[in-house]
Amino acid sequence: MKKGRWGEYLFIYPAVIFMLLLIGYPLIYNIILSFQDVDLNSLATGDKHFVWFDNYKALADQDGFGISVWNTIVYTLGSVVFQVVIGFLLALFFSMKFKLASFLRGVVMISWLIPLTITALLYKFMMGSGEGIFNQMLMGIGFIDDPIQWLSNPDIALWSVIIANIWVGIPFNMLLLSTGLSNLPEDVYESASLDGANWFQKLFKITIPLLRPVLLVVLMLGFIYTFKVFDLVFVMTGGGPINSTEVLSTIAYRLSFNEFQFSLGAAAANILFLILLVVSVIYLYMINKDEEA
Amino acid sequence: MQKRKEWILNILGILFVLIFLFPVYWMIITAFKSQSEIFQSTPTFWPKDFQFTSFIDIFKDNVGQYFLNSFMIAGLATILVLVLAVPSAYGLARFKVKGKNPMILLFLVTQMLPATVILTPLFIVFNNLSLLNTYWGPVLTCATLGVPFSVLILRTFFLGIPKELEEAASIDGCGRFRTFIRVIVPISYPSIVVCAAISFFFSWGDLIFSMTFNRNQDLWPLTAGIYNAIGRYGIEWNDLMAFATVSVLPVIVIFVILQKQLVKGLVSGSIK
Amino acid sequence: MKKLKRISGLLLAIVSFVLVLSACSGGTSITDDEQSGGEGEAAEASKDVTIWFHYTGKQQEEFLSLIDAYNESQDQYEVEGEYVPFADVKKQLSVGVAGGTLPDMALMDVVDNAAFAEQGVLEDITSKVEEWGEIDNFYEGPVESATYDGKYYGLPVGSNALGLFYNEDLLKEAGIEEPPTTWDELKEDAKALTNDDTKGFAVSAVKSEEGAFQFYPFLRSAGADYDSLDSEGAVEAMTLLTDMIEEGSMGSDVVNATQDDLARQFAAGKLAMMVNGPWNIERLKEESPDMNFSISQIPKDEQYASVLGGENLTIIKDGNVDGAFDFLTWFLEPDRHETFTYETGVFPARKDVLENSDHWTEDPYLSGFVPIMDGAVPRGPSPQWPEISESIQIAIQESLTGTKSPEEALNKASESVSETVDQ
Repeated sequence: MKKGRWGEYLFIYPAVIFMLLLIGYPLIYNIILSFQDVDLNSLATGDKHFVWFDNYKALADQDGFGISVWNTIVYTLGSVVFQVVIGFLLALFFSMKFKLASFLRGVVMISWLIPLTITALLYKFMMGSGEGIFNQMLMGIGFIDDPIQWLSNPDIALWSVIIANIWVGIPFNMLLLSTGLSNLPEDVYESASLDGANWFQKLFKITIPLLRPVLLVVLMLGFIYTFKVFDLVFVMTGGGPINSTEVLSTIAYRLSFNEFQFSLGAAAANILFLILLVVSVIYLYMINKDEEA
Repeated sequence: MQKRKEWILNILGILFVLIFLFPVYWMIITAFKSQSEIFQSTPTFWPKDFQFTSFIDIFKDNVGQYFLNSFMIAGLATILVLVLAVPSAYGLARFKVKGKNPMILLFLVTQMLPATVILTPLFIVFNNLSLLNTYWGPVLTCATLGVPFSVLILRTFFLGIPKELEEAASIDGCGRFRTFIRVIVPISYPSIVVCAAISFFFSWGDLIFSMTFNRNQDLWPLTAGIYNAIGRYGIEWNDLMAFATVSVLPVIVIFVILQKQLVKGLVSGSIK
Repeated sequence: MKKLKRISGLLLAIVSFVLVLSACSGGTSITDDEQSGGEGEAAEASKDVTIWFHYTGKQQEEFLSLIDAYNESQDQYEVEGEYVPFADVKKQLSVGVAGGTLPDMALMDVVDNAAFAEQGVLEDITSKVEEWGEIDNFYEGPVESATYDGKYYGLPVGSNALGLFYNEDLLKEAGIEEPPTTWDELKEDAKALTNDDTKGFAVSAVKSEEGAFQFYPFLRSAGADYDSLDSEGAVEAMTLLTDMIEEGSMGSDVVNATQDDLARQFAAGKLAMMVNGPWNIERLKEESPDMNFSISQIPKDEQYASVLGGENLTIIKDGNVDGAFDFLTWFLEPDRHETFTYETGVFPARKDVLENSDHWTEDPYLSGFVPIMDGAVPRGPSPQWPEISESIQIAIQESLTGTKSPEEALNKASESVSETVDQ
């Protein structure tokens, strides 16, 4: 190996090794755990035996597992779609150069900066069915007659949590998309204007196609951060009512730390991980295609 | 005509921000209300009886110590993230090393594990290394959130820096490392600040790592203090919102101070 | 396509690299941990006793000062209390088992004792308890909660139960002289007490142990139990609560309200009657000093019934068992037990303490709980309680939200409970 090469690796490797040790090890630990039969008893004695896919089968039969997969998907898609669309519209709005644009764009970031635990409590407070301010205001303006059971109606609760999550995620999407917008070449728009293209044509024919790489990244990051959500759901509803807001990460937590079925919990977490992995490989494939093109 | 459009845009912008940030306003204002006022059937948008008792209560509750801990954990984690991520991102952007793609994939993948999964294995590791009940447990784990994010963001930024800059430096006789420190870091300053701030915010919001790795309450961050306060009194909304306000303030202050750089950094830097 | 293949190949490479890495560290995992964890303790094994507890506020103060007093009273052992928040106890114990960093004693909720005993975390202290010879002075229910398979795995250190809290002023306004005693009266009174501002009645039906806890008195009053959830009595109990939501005299948000939430609504005058426990008395007095409230039996179907709550102190396997038991018996001496329980607003686990003291019978609020405690039964006890409880919680929520009829919800719960128990 050439001498120079060592220096290059010194740049890269510390971070790689750090992540391998701190995340790689737990990942492997978890995969092995999901193939064993482990409860507190065997955890203490070290007497773990392999049952291979039994845990995954048991998990599939588990009450609430199917719905938690479905909820995770609805939650993720619902959150990401609205975050990106609203974030994008805001980015467009703030990209018009007016005096307060950059100041206001900054102030909006506050919602993203609040620790998730607090956001969750805040929304739980505002979504209270009786004294909660959301219902009070909606009823005050005559939009609804009866209070909405934001968090206690099983048909609504998941969407209430999604609303809170959209609120959290909008600024981040907006900022990344603003970034992308500001990097777009202006001359394309000028020539488009000369050709008489209207606002919508420019948006769909120029802006969105040019923004594709950034949109991909935003979608990807949004997907990852939303799919593994824990705090928000855990604090706002704890998975209830019934199983209406149970997602993969809360069910994994509950199985492991409430019922001591560590192996089942690990299996649930691995399924979550596997889905994310598949999505990100697809993403990498798309990026590579972009770079090759 | 142009002036009128400017006015309309400004007003629209302000209106939107006011509506969007209403929850934050509601949080702060609730902290100044009395318990009975919170329960009134007609909500008050400004406290009738403006009181500070909630804040006094929580300051009796050791909020200062929690505050300091949050700062230590978030600060140390941020430093660690920068030390690890900046060179790594640069290396991955510039050098032709073997296994570059899998390493990028690694950083992407390691962001995907839900926090709850890594608790037990890391607890075992930290116990072996005697890192339980120290700042290091949450610092190391919080850094695992910031490192991959920063590597991915910074790499794309470094890719955009013209190579001529470094070539000029190496003609001047700078080694690779000195080029990096003298030339690259200064011009990437805005992007690095962004990653630092985001890593700081990630760590500032941590609850589960501190609660799992540190039983010693003297090391708990603000979020753990809040979480614990709920368990103790049930939820007293005014106290809770006071706690929340206090824990959000510093992040907002940092953000306001760095706002220009943050927005500029993200706008000029990020993903291509 | 080629690219994809390469990516997956590289992925495999990473995984195998990590495998090698983890194999190096993995070899040292469980068994070695225990040794290394044990080393520090072994050096002072005869002396140090660490206790994890979730007491807060006044209970915490009293508990810690008693620990100090114990340490001063003798030189043989040195007890140290470590606070672990209630919501975190189970998680801390399980990662503690994995990491080999358990305390010598742990305070736990009465329903969790059997589960932890079954999982082999706790020390069987039967012979020590028999030698001690005081167990007959304790109430049966609390003691039962500390046993598993006929053996003792802990001792109760404080008890509570659920009662009906009612706002006297609101009852008077509605022209109700006496609090309801039967389910029919409860329904009727709750309806009369309900108006735009106030709900007549509430139980906590949140999806946690609290929900199952609050439903249990109704279940037992109708002669049913967790292993007869499909019985007529169980269905009647569920129907009662569901009807009250349909009639509007109980808010449908109870499926998201904890016992503390109920207490807060009650204190604010938004709730005329609720099911709650003695630990909330102090807080109600403090928050609404002008409100007149009182406590009575939860209205009955066949018989009055209530459910026991409280804590047991358990001793962890392979810890400093002798030291832990010494502290435990010292802590449970009648005088000390009386002061600790009375000062913190809960009930003693010892019969002799309650019988020989007039603290509880003379307190205007706690006295309401004295007859309730008599008929209070433990949940389960069952080592599978966490799973059973979850089936019950889901049935409650399904029924109260109208997703399923009381009968359907309970039949489903009954099936999953019998599956759990048969395992």
